Amino acid sequence: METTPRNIAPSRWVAAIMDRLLPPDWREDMPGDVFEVCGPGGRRIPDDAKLILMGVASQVRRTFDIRLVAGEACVLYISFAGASLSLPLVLVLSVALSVLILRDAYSGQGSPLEAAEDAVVAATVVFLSQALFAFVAPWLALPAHTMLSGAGIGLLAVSIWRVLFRRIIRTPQRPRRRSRQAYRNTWAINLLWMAAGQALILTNTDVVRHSLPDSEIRDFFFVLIPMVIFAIAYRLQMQGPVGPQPERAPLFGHERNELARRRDNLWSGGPVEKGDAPGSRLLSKTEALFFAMLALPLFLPLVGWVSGYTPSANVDWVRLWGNLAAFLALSVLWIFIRKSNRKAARALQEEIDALDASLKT
Amino acid sequence: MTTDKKPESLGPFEQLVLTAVVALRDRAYGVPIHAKVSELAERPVHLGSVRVTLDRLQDKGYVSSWLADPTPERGGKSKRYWHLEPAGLAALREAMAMSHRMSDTLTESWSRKWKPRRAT
Repeated sequence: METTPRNIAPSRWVAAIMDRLLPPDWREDMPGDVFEVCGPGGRRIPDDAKLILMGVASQVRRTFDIRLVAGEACVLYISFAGASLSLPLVLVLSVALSVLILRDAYSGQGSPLEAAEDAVVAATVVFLSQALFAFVAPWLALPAHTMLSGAGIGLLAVSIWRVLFRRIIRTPQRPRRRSRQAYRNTWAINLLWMAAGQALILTNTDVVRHSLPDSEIRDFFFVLIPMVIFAIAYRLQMQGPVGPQPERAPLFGHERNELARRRDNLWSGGPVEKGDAPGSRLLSKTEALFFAMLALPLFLPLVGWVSGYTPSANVDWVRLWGNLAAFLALSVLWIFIRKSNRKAARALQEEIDALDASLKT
Repeated sequence: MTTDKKPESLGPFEQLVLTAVVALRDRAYGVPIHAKVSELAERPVHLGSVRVTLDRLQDKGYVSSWLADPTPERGGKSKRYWHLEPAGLAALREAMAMSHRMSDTLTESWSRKWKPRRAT
């Protein structure tokens, strides 16, 4: 049997709540549409709730910026460096990121004050959730001192990150500004990824402490070599097909050369003018070697333990699994970083093309 | 670098919403669009679904919107009018052409006489 929802709410209250909960873009006209459709006394709570959820979901989709969120995740992870990558930390990061994503959907101009407000709201919700976990399921709560220090650093770091990199979708930007902002954002994420990679390389040496007691050999193999390989890969990328080209001669002036330099500095892995050509084979091999070197110290203790060479007590399992998870996250992020770099390089290339076209006319 | 691209293909609901915007012309704001889409779809559609789709179409550059002055019959709220952009028109034309091609192909296939396979 088909049922129709009952009109149960005093419409003025529902309208006021709806006005408050709808995202700003919908707030100006949607309540009017609902008013027109239902009339003053015809409000239905399930319909209004559905409308609010749809509005929030739509606004989240519009304001969601993966670069911003990935950056925030890295910044927060670094802020909680004292804690190992465990379920409580994942919960803290998830709650904080969810709040920040929702704040993006609701807040407007991206001013420094708003960025600080966002961070404070996220910290408050995280503290509340932690208090709830401490009461209901203590094993899901972070230790108080880790939480306090991490939240303090995180509050500041997230505020700064949001002031610097938050996208303001309501102010349409000219393509030129957009490409430059994409370049800046991409490099910020590159740097964060490199910092996280560096942290992983340094902590990896702790994992193989018992398998390889000589600290100099350990540092040489697991710290220096990966860094050198990474530097070689970057150098290869710079000297590759997107490197210096004849058109960079001062034919079109300083601005064009500057744009080309920025495009070439990005880790785009191939010529962006010719579609999606993959990077050179040597570059791909070097990248693969870097990741292999990054993973090696994590697999050595595992192999030693399986073969019976290393006793289980000599393996720092928490660190091992934490680093393994971080390695996997960095590997997955690398795909995104390559794409993001390529996209930014393409935006710069479009700007170069537009400049060339304008100079020709 | 070439920038000429075919417009991004439209989903069925997007086609309905764009069609409603085209049909309503100067009266294309939330409530009439919602009514027209429900009429075209021949089923009740949620007001929010129409608005979500309009937002998505606006992000793609297929429609643009502007706010009119608030009116008392809408509880003091404004109407947001929607306007079809050239890119939206191109996408709608492409969707229509594709429907025609599909319709022609299916009509031809279904009208073909069935012939039994000759025994070898």
